[in-house]
Amino acid sequence: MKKVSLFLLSINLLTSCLKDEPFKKSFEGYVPQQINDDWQISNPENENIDENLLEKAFQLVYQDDRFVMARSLLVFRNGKLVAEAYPNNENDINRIHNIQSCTKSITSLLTGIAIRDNKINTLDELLYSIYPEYFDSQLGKRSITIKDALLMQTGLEFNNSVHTQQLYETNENSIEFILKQNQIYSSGTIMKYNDGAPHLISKVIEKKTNQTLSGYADKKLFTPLNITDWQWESSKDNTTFGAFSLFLKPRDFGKIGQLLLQNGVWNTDTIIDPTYLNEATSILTSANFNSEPYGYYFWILPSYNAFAALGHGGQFILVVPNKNLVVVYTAFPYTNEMFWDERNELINIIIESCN
Amino acid sequence: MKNSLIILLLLMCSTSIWGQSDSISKSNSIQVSFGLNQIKEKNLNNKVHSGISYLLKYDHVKIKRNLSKYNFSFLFSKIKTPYESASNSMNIQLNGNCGYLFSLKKTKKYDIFLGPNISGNYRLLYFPNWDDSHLYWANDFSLNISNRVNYSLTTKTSLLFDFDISVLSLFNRPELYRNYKIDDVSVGGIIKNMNSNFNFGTVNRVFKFHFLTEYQFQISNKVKQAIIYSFNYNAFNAKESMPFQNVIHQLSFKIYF
Repeated sequence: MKKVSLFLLSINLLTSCLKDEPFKKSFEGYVPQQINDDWQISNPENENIDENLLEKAFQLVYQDDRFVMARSLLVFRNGKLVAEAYPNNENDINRIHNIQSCTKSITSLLTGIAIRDNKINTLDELLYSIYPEYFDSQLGKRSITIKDALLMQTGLEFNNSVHTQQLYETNENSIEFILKQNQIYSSGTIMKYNDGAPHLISKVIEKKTNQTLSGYADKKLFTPLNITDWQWESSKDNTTFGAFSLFLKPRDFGKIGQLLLQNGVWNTDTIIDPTYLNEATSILTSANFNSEPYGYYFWILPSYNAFAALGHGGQFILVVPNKNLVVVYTAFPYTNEMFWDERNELINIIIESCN
Repeated sequence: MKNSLIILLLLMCSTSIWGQSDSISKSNSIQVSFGLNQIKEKNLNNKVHSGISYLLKYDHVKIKRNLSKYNFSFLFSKIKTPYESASNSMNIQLNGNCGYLFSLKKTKKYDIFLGPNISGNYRLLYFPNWDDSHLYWANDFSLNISNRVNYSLTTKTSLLFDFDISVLSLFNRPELYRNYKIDDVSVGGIIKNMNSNFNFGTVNRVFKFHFLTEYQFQISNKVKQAIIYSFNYNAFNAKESMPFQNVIHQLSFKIYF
């Protein structure tokens, strides 16, 4: 009996291992929840969307080995919320979420608001003329314009894999930190995607409006759109990060997309300068690392006649004007690129579903 | 898992299976181990990270009538899920443990001890493929019930069994929703994170179970060695965090001096 007990114990212990569980909940449909927010709820049929294709898109997000870190998928058409799902946790509908580099597009959008607000007169203005106190003695840096920073063409050697964390942690002035990096190209010549340039734009807006970028966003963007629950991180010198770390709820993320779809008009108010917005969402350059067309912190998708804000984790706001369509996808925002999702397949299916 | 625990508890209560004893009065030992380390960090996802663990441990035991002991260990493990091609994730564990066990029964063939022990455990985890910006941890200082049985087989060989179960713990876990981009990964920042927001909990919050069986043998009169199998199960269920589980099976070689 003792030997049997010990044998059973040994077997039991040796086989005591943890078991995997699914990444996400099982698929429960995509009917939007009725909550008291500003979104009018509709359904695929009323908005002329192929239900089978739409379901295929949502099934794709729920599949185990793909879109593994998905947090939300929302489809808006004709200004209405048609479908939404939260594959990880249904309470994610009410949680703010770091949209990572999609933040850059919001910074661009706020530049358009500052233009509309007559705070910025021309994109050709030199950064040196706005905040000369942060520049070092290298003369080449003094020719960087607002437009160069919006096109990631400052020529500064800001390498995200090294400098983003340093920018996040530095105790020195964050603008000086960026501007002290070597200028390896002349400004306005070569696009190099980085987190430094949008931070320079954040300080431009701060100087022009006498309030931080996040304060300005609250007043001029979030309040008009009735976005009340948000967070935006700042560097240690209290300069709002222009490149990352804006936290929004997924449905509020959709409001930003809808504002873009409506050419910067919300209700009857023109919030964003329309000329700027049109330019910002046009092909102005191409990214150094993947040759994808790029505007002022917006990715341009010519094959879909669309543009998008893209962020770490595979997150995006997709705006397709000729389909009157906005798609929001959020994912765990800190996942390495090896787990980024097959975004294009998802986008393909959803656009195809819109008749 | 539950079956294992039930069987172990039954064994702990059943002293009849043990024979006569031959106790050690005082010993120091160094132990080298390798084993299977499994971690499920639900703050991240529901998948199990597995990998080989390497452990170095110093152990001191003193027996008069009762038994006092303390030990320190360091464990390092590179872990991964089946979704990753390489083990980029890692787990470091620092453990300290001291206890005072009362002699329950002493015969020529066996000794049985039971008493409290206190353990401090730091478990630091980094999963760069899943979260390249934050560290994860599951730390505790626990009051445990500890049981030891020394069983003499021959004059030169013996068996030792240890069981520990946590009763009360002071523990900390990272919050599930960290609304900031990057953890402070300076030494000071890590120390601060690892030592903040501690909470009290009983077994419903922190459940730790440790089982060890050791076969001691002597090749010469001067040197005593042992081979060991040990099993550790740690489960955390903090309020602001998702559950964390850790299972470690280890084989060890120990030299007494």
